[in-house]
Amino acid sequence: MSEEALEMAPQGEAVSRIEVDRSAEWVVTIYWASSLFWLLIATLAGLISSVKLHSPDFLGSYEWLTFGRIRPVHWDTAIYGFGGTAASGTLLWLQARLCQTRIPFPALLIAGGVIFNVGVLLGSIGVLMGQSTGVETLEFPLYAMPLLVIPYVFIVIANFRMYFTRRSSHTYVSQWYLMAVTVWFPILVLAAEACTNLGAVDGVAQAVANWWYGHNVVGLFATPTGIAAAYYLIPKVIGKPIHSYHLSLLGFWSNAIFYNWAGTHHLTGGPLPAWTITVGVVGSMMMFIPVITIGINHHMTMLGSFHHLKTSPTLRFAVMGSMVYTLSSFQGSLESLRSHQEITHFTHYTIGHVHFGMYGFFAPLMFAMMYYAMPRLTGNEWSSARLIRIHFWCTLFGTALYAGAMCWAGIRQGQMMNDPAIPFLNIVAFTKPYLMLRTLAGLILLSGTIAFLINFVRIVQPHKLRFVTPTLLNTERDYKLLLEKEKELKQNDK
Amino acid sequence: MNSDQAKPEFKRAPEMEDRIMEMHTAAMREMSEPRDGIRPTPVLFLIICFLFTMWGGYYMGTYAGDWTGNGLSERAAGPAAAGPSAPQNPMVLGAEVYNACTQCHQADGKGLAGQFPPLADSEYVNGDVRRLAAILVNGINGELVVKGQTYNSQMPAWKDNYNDEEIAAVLTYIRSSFGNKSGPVAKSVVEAVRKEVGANGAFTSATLTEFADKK
Repeated sequence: MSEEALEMAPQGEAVSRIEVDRSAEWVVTIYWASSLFWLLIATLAGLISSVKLHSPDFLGSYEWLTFGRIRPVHWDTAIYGFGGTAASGTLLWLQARLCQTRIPFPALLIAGGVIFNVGVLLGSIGVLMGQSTGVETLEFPLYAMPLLVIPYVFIVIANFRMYFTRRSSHTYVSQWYLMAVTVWFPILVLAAEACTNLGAVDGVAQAVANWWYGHNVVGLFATPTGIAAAYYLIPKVIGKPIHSYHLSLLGFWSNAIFYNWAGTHHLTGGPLPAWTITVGVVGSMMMFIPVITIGINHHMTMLGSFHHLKTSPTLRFAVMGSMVYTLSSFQGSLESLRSHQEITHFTHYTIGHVHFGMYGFFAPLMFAMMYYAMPRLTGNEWSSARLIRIHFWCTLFGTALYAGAMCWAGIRQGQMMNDPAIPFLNIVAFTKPYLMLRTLAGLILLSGTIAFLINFVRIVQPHKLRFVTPTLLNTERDYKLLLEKEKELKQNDK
Repeated sequence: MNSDQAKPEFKRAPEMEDRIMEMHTAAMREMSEPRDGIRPTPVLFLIICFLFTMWGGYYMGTYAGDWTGNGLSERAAGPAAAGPSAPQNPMVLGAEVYNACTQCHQADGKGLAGQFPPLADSEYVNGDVRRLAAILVNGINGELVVKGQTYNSQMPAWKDNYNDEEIAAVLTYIRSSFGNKSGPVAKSVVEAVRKEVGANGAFTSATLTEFADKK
């Protein structure tokens, strides 16, 4: 080892960071790579469903691609394929970083990632073949479910192992959320499967279990992981402490207490005892407390550091995610009210809200994690700042267009449906242009995904040459030149 | 940026032995792990939390339908809920009910040529109200001549789906829409027809005429 190398040797905290990143290299990359694959599949399935809504004959002759099959595949690959693997990779890397421990059992976790992917694939094919269970969000046939649950058990074990062998003295707020997710999610899946597909309860109680799960899979799985990522990335990139520990505490516990109750607001107007829905509405409205708390913590930390948004890709996505978290949560709480649902229930408004939350809050935070961590895991830099910019603006505009078009169409649709003087077909005709706008938004989101995929494939490829400086949004990268020089180098080496 | 441009753009990927040092320039340049600040919780925010909690209690107390297991109405059974509901405008109610009819008779009441008879300008719609009510109550099967055209299909019975007020309302609605200008149908007409033939099955063209002539 040269003297120069010794001088450059990292010291202090950086040592543990490097150790952690080396142990995470394969595991986390595999989880994130598969999450992007499923994001592409989910986006394509979503696009097909979207086109079918305004042009019903599109691909109409393939029974595999009928709306009743392709739409569940869209949502299930989005939440399990993309969400599940992106969140698991995030969980493993963040927990390892914050505990300053290596990721344990790498072989087991990699095997888990492979099994999980096989599970999502089998489940999707099953649904496409017409074997859907018909229970929303749990459409995958029962034989696919163990393949999704068992890998998650590995992740839970690895997570606890990291936490109990941690070298850090302080437990940071992100870790609370990550620990909570690993406790909540297995309970959610098992209880929901038992109460729906396994038939522990019948009738309307099944619907309650279904929507309790349907809301919580977003609220107690995707949301805490997203919040954990935002709590980590925002102070990390701008180098300031998070605004307030007291608020973090209040936000975490109020989230834990209230979110679980919210699911039944999906069944407003259904044949349920009125109190079940009332409790759901109150649970949803009480979510204002954790949302405001988390909002203050994230936005007040950012205050005065907005100039970093010009350069840092990570921060741009993270701040977009945390801002949309506040907005979409406010929207969601108000949406649960009976007086609001009188108009928007069973309209496109709900679909607009879901995509606003998932693609405006959760997905950008997962992208931010990848933009931050992948250079550390691979030792490469992102090959193109332009592709990152395209990805960001496509994500932002695509989501805004989607949510804007669907929510507005939903409000008008609901108002018209409440007016008996308007024939139903007129309302369908009214929504058609908005449904086309949705397809356009889907295409924009797809372009962003493809831009990200190109960058992702390039960063995980083994390279002989590397960019020296980090890829910031205002840097220009010449990937072609790098490839050319690499070719020359290879010839010289021979 | 100028000083950056002077530096080389690329470097060689590190070989295995000094991988640890060189590979992790990204990990070395980054900021230290995030820490917690200790700003106090704003008082205004605590007040907001308190108000939300109070609202939650109020809402649950008001809209939980007495916490009974089989109460579908969110309001507890009180004098307001128990009182008779105000009679609805038959044209509004009828239009709402008519949504169920549009599949066959279409939104414009013109039916489908050769398949479903029209309501617009139909002698059945604008004729005897007792006969019209009977068609809705029991349904009608088989051949039927409307406006000189022969149709052969089935109209289902609606007696189990709608009450007398709703059937009367939809009859009133179709008798004064699509260019029809006949008078309203009273609830009592439907009531009487239901009492008379409500237990029977669907009419045919012949039994309907027989029923209408009986009077």
